Amino acid sequence: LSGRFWQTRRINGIPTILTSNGDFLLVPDYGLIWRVEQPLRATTIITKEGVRQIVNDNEVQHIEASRTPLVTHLNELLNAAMVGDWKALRHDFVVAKTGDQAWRAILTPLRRDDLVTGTLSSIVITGGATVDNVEISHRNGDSEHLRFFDQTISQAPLRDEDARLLAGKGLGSASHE
Amino acid sequence: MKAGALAWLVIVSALCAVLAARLHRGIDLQTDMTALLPVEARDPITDRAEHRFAELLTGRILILIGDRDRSEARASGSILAEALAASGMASSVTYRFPSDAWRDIGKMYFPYRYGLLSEVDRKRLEQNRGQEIANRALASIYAPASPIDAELLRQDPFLLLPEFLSHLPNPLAALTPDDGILSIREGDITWVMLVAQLNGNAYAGAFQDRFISLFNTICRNIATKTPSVKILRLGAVFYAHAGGKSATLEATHLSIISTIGTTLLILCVFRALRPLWLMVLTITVGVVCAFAVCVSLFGGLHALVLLFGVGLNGIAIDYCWQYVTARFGPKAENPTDRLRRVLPGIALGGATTLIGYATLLLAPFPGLIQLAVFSAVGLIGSFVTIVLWLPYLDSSQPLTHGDHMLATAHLLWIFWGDARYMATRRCVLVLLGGLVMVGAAHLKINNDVRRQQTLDSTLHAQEVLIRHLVQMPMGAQFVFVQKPDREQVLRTEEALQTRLALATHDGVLGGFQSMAQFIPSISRQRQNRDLVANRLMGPFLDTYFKRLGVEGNVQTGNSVVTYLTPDLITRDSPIAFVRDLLVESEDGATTGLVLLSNVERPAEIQRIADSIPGVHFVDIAEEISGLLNKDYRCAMILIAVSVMLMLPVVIWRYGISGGIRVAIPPVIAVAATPPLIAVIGMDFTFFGAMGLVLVLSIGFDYAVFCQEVEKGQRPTTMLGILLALATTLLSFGVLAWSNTFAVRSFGVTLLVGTTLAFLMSPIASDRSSKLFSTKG
Repeated sequence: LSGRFWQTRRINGIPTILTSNGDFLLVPDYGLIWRVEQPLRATTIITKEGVRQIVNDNEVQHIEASRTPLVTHLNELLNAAMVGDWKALRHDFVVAKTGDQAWRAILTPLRRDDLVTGTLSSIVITGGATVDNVEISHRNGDSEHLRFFDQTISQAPLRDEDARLLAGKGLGSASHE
Repeated sequence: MKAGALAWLVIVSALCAVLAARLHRGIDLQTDMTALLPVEARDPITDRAEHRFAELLTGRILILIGDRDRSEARASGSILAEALAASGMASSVTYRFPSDAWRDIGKMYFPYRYGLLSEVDRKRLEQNRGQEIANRALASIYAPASPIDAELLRQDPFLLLPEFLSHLPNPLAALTPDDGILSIREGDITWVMLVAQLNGNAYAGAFQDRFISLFNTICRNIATKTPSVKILRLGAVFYAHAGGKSATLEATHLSIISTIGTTLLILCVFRALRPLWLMVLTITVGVVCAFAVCVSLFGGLHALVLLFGVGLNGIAIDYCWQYVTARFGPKAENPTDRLRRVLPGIALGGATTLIGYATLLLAPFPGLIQLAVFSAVGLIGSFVTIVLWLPYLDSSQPLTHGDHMLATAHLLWIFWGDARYMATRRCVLVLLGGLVMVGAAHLKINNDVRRQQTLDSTLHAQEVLIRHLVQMPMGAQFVFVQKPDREQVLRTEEALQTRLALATHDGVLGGFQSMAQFIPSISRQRQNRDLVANRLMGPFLDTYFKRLGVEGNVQTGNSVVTYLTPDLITRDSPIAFVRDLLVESEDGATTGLVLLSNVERPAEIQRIADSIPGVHFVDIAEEISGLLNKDYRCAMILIAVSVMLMLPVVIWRYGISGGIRVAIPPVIAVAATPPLIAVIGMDFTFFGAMGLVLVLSIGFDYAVFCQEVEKGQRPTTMLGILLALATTLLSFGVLAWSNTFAVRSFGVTLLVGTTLAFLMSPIASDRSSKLFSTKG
């Protein structure tokens, strides 16, 4: 699954609404590449092995999954939300889904003291054939809105660059790890 | 004689009383291998620190409780945790954390955040690459589902603390806190983890028994309530208990075999019970004397000393056999006459054996010294019993049914003495020489304790599963850092950390944990604050905030004047285990412990440790192996020394050529046994060397008996030796079938060595045996 996204973020106490856009590639059971193009070029690669961030061709962060299971769990949830995997989400949320062709699902965390989901007040996901909108609200009033468009589901092999990123390698010639 | 017997009765009774009193008070029977540590000149502070950490590690237990039903697993975990805590046998039980415990770690660090930098971030700032940190922070803010709020942005704009926290070593990373309990989900099973620190010595028998029976009772209760619950355990106490149990079981089996075997042997040979009682009495008196003297001298006794000591004492049975078989010989009507006939042989044999045991006294190891005293006293006790008591207790009837046995036993003498067998004799010797050469080429000396401990297979399987689930590395190796104060320890650990990180990268070790990783030294915190203020906040903060549209003040944290110190970690913190990594002792020294995991190349760790003052590398298994190696070398030298000391005694009695003749069979037996064992593919160990001490003494006994004997008594003497060999094999040879590697090594050595000594014994007699000449 690949497509473009438009993200807006409201952080309580900061007047500016932070917006960003870019494209993403989600390979089920493999990982997610989140490529922000505006306002800066930053790529976040989330795989079972961990999380890496590359800004301006420099790897600035690399967290191995084995060190921080919390991060891994967060990303599992994100993946599940993006493909609408309700079964996986029900481990941590109460899922209320209405509609069929055009549907809307409201997720509320099961455990308020959970380190990952405990800070959320709700997640609202709407979609049809694919997930179109994800609205994440935090208990402290922050919110994050993700809009997905131009989504395509493809069986075609990955582009070389993407395969390299998912395999834990750097960006082209930028890194020789 | 009568007066002597009575005097001996008084002495033995007194010793019995001493022993009974001691036993009543309870005897400290040590089983900890480290108790055999040599009395080298060691730094007492180092010693104490090492001991403390070793105790800490061996006293820890880790339990995983698993069930398909999450709530059943959790409920069972609670039952276990409560029962352990209530038992008073654990100084701490860690199971359920308060739900905000993990947030508390963040809270603990938060005020000091500008003094905390991950290794990578510190390098970035040192190299003026602060822009990368600013970029990372931006990327994190725009990353999907990032948990960043305005408060955090104001207080830690560049998200330095989350970065520091995510780089902390996390030994239990595979576990996730689930409603306060560390859990792992694998397949459809939920495992919950419980960790406890025992407050007794895991190797002390009494504590072990109490703890294991409590633990098993709790497990049974859980199993009755919820049969589906699985409980996996890991800890030295479980291994030690299982090891002790299987050793006891095995010892019971083997001793039944040897008791029944010896009894049958005596009944068959003598068709009477009396010789059996005589032997039991001889050995018992010896052991009682040895035990009483040792506990009075040393206060306690090591279990290994008791085991080997009873064995070494068992040699007294050879003298007993010489005495009782004399009943088969001619002119055997009077017990006192019979004693007089065998006395020179057994006295000389006893003297050489005593020399052999006494040389162990020269060893600088407390274990060997205890052993020497035990076996020497035991031997004297048994010997005196034979000489003073047996003639009074023995029947005066000569035995007449032994012709057939005597003739059979005499065959060996004929083989060595008769000219007809000269060619065969040569062949046998050449064959033996060949085998020894082949074996010598394959001889391997191995004192690695890791191979000598037989781990209980069920427990080991559980350990493997636990280590797989928890992703916990193997190894009990550590480095410790000793300095006058905490700050210096932390600074040294930071220096060490840089080296160890490189070594980890090179595959020397899997990873490490130290206090300094969690709590940097104050000087490091100060440097970090300067770096953050001058190279990050100064140049980048304004642009960064403008970009995000953040207004208002930033709490740069420079107002905080205090520094993070180890005391801030609370007892119920999820990182409370870090507290144990630093010990301040009352004598003013501070010791930091750096745990190492999966050490692949210990020599390189040693090099790193040597290069930093105050750093010591400790590898417990390696240390014990090294100790056994030293003990081994020592035992081998002592064997050589005791041959040298025994020679003058036999030369004094038999002249130079006679004396050397007597020495031939035992020396060949001792020299040929290790290579012959190598032929069957077994490594030679310290425990084998202990076997050789016994082989040497037994060999000298047999040889002396053969040298002393008059022509007419030869068959009787040979029967006595044959029966002595049979008992030795029945009591020690059977140890060759032990499951414990150490015991097996001892058993095989005795099996091969004493058989060899027996087969060669007639060579010792210069009156009839000629090896290569047809004369005589």
